[in-house]
Amino acid sequence: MNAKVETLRSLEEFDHILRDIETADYQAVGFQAVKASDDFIKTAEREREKLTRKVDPKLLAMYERIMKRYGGRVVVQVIREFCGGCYVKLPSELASRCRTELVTCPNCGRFLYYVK
Amino acid sequence: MTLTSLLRPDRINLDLKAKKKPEALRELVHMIRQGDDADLLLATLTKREELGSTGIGKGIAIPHGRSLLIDKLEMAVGRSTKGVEYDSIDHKAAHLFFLIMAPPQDPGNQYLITLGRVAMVCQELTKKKRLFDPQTPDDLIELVRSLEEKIR
Repeated sequence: MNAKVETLRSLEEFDHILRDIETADYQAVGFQAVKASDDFIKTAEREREKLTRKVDPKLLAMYERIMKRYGGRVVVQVIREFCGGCYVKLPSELASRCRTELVTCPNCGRFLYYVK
Repeated sequence: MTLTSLLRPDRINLDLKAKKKPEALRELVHMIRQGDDADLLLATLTKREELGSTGIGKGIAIPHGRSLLIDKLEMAVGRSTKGVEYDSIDHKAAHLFFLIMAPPQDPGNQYLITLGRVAMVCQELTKKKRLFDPQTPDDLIELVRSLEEKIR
């Protein structure tokens, strides 16, 4: 997987973790941070911050925009040449390029990645 | 949605070989995915563990995460008689593992509800000291069913 896509994918997974751990249902289970004295949410926010520093600011802005718009599924898998986010058929050349390059869906703008 | 409806005998391994956390997570993930997908799920779970262990103590661990590779809620269960070093909050070995994987968005937030239900069922399991009672995957599903009915 392209390194930029991998970082964006990690970022999205972090955002899902953050969204969940802020809920009362999640907190009721009793998970703790690595150091029990640390605030779990702040630990996650710090880690997210570290991750965002690895992302090109323009890409990060695109990411934030798509996340705001769709609430998730920002970085999606290409499934048989279809976008895994909006399910539109992708041009073969584009679907092929996403194996090595950072490519976005021409329809929804989501970042695409390919898994064998 | 009941826990029982999410459990499948072929996704329950009552004899995990793992001695440490990474191996245990690998064994659990391989019950639901193979190849590249398994590696990506493993990376998701590892990242979550880095924030804080999902070992909630008393021999129980609930590794969990949301992944773009998952379309609907999926579970796998593992048990280790000898125990796994898991950095649990009580610093004791973990014996019973409930892996929960969810899609990035799920209607009605079933993921968090399921997480809560698993935690409650596990509390009952440890309270009644029944962690090692099930001899087969079907036994475990039956036990979860009976405990789940009590917490409804």
